[in-house]
Amino acid sequence: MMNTPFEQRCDLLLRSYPPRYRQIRRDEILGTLLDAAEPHATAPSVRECWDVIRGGIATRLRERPPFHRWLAYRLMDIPVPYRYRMWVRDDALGRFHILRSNLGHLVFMYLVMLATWAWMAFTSGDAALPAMSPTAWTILAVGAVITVVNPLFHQAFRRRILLKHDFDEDGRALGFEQAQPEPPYESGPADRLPHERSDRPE
Amino acid sequence: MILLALAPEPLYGYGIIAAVRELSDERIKLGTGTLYGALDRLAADGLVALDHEEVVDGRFRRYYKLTGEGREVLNAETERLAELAARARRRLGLPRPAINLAG
Repeated sequence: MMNTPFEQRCDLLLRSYPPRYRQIRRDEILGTLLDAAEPHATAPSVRECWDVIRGGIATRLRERPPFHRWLAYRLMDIPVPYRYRMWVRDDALGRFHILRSNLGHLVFMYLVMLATWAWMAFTSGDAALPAMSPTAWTILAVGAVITVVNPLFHQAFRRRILLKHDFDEDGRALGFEQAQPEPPYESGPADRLPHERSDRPE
Repeated sequence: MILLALAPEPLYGYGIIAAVRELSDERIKLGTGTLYGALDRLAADGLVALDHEEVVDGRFRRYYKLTGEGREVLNAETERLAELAARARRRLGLPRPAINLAG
C-alpha cells in the first residue's frame, strides 16, 4: 500500500500545505483523494490537483502571522502571538532556518546602522551618509562571522526561539502532557484537553 | 452546504463530497482541498467537530459531526433561505408553494 505512484503524486501535492498540517492530515487527505479518484487511476485528476494546491496555499496564508508580527519576529526575534506558534515551530525546524534568521538579523543591523548615521548627520549637519567602501578585509570579516561564527551559535539560538514559544528543542510542546503538536484546525483534540486553550493568554 | 451534508449523520471526507453532490443535484463538485479548507474553518468556528477515526481498506478516515451550535446556525440559515424564497415568489407573483402537511 505504501508509496504507490498515486501516493507519491499526492505527497507531492501535499507539499503545498505547511509541514505541521501534513504531519496530522496526510493520511486522511490521501484517503479522500483515493476515494475521489477513478479506480486504478495513477494520479488524482487535474482539477483535483489544482484544488489541493489552492487549499494548501490558502492554509499557509491563513496560518501565517500578520506582516508586522512577522517582521518583528524575523528582525528582532519578538515572539509572535500564541495562535501562530505552530508557524514558528515549522519555521525554526525547517530547512534553511539559519539562512532565514541570519538574513533577518543582518537586515535589522543594517537598519540600525542607517538610523545611527541619519541621526549623526541630523545632529552634526554634515553630509547625509558617509560613503561606504568596504575593504577586502571587512568583507572577509563579515563573511567569516556569517559562515563560521553564526553556525556555532545557531543551535542555541533555535532552542531559545522555540522555548520562547513553549516548545522544546525538538518541537514538542511544553506545558502539558500531550507531546504531539496540537492541530489548531480541529476541535477534536481541544475537546479532549479543554484546559490547553484557556491556560494561556494570547 | 457541508453543514447540511453532515446534518443526518457524521461523515468522512469523501462521504461529504458525495453528499454535497447529491444535495446540489450534481451541481457542486467539491474538491478535496476546498473541502478541508472549509472543514478547518467550520471547526475553528466550533460548528463541526471530530467524531471518530477508522481505517477502511487501508484508507484512513476521520468522521466529522455537527455540533449543537452548528445545528443552530444551519437552522437559522435554512429559515433565512426559506424567507428569501418566499419573498422572491411574492415579487414574481407566483403562487405559494403547496405545503406538504405530512412532512
